[in-house]
Amino acid sequence: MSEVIVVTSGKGGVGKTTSTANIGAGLARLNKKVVLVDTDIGLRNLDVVMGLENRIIYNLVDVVEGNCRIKQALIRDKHYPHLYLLPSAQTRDKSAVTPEQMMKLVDSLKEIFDYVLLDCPAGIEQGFRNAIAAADRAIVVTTPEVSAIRDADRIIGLLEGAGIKKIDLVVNRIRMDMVRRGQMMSVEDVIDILAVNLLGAIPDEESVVIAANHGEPVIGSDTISGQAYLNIARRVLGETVALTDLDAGSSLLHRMAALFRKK
Amino acid sequence: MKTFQKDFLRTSGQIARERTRLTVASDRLSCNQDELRQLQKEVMGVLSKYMDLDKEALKIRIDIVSGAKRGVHDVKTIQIK
Repeated sequence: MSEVIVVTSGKGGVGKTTSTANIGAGLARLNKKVVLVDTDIGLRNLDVVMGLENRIIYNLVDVVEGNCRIKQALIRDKHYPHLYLLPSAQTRDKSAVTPEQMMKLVDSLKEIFDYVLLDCPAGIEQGFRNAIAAADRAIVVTTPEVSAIRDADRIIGLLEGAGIKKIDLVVNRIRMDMVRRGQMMSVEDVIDILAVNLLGAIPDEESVVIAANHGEPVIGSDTISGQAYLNIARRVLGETVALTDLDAGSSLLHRMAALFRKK
Repeated sequence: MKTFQKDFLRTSGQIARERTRLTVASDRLSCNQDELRQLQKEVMGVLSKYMDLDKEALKIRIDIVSGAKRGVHDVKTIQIK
């Protein structure tokens, strides 16, 4: 039984593509056959984040238009032999594909893979409609900012309206030092407002930027965000995993101070 | 001036939380934030007319049934403080 998951957010720049790459790598690490589909036609990014930009020959639009077979367009990841990328087209726009074509494409991918992850473009226009058409479930990515949470709420409404039953949330770029000082909304605040299931939270770490600079997943590295993404992948599989301690890097003194402040 | 003083005492995290709550609630109800504030005020006013209320500790939850969708009632829950 393969599962199709759309990774979406509404607002741009919150970490959809990075999250798609890392959750995908996490699932592959857990021995699942995974394909990541970049549905952002005209603004392709997932290939660069994964470091596969030099290997693209055919793309999603080529497959949909019948210029090549699906297996010709799939690119195998450098690190995980079970992980593949279906890149998007750079020289076309969102109208090159219809939701029906997307569903047909995803159906053929489901025959080959355990998990199909769709990296959704920002916005709620046709690119979004295409990406959610074929999805069984959704992962909504947000950051602890007013604008991102507002857009996430709107997206959750649209996903529910489209009949997607399972919607989970990833809170990205949490800075525990700022939360401790009361200068940033906490993961609990975000969950309280959006009222959806939390899949995990990712700290705002340098390692995520550095890994993306190299075109590598942060998963597999000895970092809190790497661990957090791996735990998210486990929860996607249905495992019960305790929330990652995002505070692990901070000093005992800070944590004691935070304890007292709560009282 | 009063709101400025109130803001001054709160952390930016608390301000962000309240702004997000209000924005999301007014988006869901498709009414503007002034109307929503007015609604909160009036609901509080009506309730306090009939019962003794501790306004600080009170939390009101409003469930708005927006109509049947795919055979299921779509209930929106809006938290109003």
